[in-house]
Amino acid sequence: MEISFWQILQNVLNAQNVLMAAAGTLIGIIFGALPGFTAAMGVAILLPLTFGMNPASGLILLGALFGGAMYGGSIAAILINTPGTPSAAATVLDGYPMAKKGLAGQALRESVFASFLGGIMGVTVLLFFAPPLAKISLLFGPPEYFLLAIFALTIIASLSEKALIKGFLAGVFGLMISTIGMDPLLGFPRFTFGLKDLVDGIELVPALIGLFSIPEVLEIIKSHRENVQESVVPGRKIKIGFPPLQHIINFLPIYLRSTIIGVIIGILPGAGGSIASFMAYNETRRVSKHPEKFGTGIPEGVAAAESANNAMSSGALIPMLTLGVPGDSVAAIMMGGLLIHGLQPGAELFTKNANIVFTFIIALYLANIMMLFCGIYLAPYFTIATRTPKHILAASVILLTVLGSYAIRGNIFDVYVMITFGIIGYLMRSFGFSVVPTVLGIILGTQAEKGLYGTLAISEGQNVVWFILQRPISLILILLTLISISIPVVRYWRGRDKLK
Amino acid sequence: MNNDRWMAIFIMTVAIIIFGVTFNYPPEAVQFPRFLLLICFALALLLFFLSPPKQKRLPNNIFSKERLLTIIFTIFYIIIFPLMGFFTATFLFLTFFMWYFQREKIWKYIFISAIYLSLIYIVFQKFLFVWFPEGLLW
Repeated sequence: MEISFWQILQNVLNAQNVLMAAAGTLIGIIFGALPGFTAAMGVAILLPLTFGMNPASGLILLGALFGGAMYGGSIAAILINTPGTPSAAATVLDGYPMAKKGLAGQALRESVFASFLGGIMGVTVLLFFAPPLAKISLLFGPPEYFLLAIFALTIIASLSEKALIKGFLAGVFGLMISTIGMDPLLGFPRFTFGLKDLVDGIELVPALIGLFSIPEVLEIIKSHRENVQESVVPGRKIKIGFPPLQHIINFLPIYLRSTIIGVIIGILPGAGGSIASFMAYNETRRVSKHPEKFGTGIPEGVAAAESANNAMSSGALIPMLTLGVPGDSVAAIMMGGLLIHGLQPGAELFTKNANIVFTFIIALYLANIMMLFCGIYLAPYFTIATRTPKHILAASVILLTVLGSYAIRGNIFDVYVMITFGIIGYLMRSFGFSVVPTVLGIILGTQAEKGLYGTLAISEGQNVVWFILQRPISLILILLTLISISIPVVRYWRGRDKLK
Repeated sequence: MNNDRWMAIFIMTVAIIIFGVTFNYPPEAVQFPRFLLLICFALALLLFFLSPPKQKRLPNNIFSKERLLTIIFTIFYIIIFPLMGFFTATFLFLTFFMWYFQREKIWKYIFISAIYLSLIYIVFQKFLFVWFPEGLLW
């Protein structure tokens, strides 16, 4: 399908899409600025609202929210010493000390500008790398899709080094959930226990809403009697403004290095913003001429963390849009949105639906520009959100989760699914299990099972293992899977040897 | 015995039960689930043997009063909203929930609930055309 840049630009600049970019950015910044709220929760709650919209507008709303939340977390990190989102944990290290030194305005300016540059550069990588990667997906057959699902799950599980087995168990649990409903071979309903609502399987979006939102509500309500957190400096006294050109030139290596780290980490399934921001922070400190100053309140620390976490948000979309493997929990939820609009990740998205996906990607530039202006002129006022009493926040989130789950199909069963998964998610977290491998398992389970049966079918009686090993892409995926499993295992045994 | 070992035993038990359930289905339909259950059992066994013998106990507020009540109120709300109607049930839930956790003047929470419901009505029913069950009341 031939599309022109001007046509895409016209689509981006139409009133609905501009409104969605603005709304998503603002809502994302608010969600990010509120400790206890996450980008994943915001996207999960807003996702059902996008069903009535055209796909491009819906994706723009969610993508803008993602980027806004990645930046918004830094506001709370700098002003109240609490990261608004896990991705802003590294920003606290230098952001809050800067605020205590009376440099809150400079810290906020650095965080918004670094987020803006990281976001813009990340979107540029997405724009130029995603289409050729999508073409590679045409070479994927059933064995490759099966192995890709296994690789993605092993990567996520292996990132939780200290709880490697728990990570794998969580992933297998997600795969088991995906087997509820009709099997792909015979169409026989499995594990439905007589419930007709389970014949089509567990509805993805309510499960995601429950897994990401209810545990957060239960955390928020735990501390509802604590005093509201006050900003270290009153909002009206903070002046931000644009950074001088010389400052941008001096900090360019930090922005570039952190963006590259952020994009690469974003591409790895399950790695997330906190890993990206800490890696970028540590790397910037390592190459700095004054590493001892990091942690005392210097803008370099804020710049590194914020560039990386916003770049990560674009990186996470690359494998999601091209291969159907979300790089992050938020990308996983957005993928749910794609599927519900009938859009399949892969080559088809960049050919048949090129209009939609390129409108979305270009609109992310607009969202980043809006984020920059919101940050410069409105950032200090977002701390008002942190003063909202927690019991009101908790009630609001419960209401939105029930609303969102019901709004998908108008079916009360989806609300039951939401609360069930909410309780399961809370118990998983309490016992040290991450929900991210579970989410990935639910999303990739059907693909994995179909890939496995497809492999058995096309191998036509040959030895299946030998058949797979003759396919170059399968071989690469097997090697990557073995590497991703062995790294944490080796670290674990080395750790035990050192203790001995 | 530490929490991880109890969790491992729980997982192995559930895996065995679900494996038993698969005998009610055609074998071709349950190859993949059985494969997963075997992996699950093996991982749980590993978790049992590799978890440290001495481990910090879980914080004892995992099932604190506030959290249990939040879950109970939410479940109750979900049960009543198809019966009483979305708007009535939501108004009662929001008002009572907010008032219960912070015993201030109830008028404040009635006002907040009314604002929320007005916004939901406008955004969902008028703008997005999502209709909620009316129930016996509204």
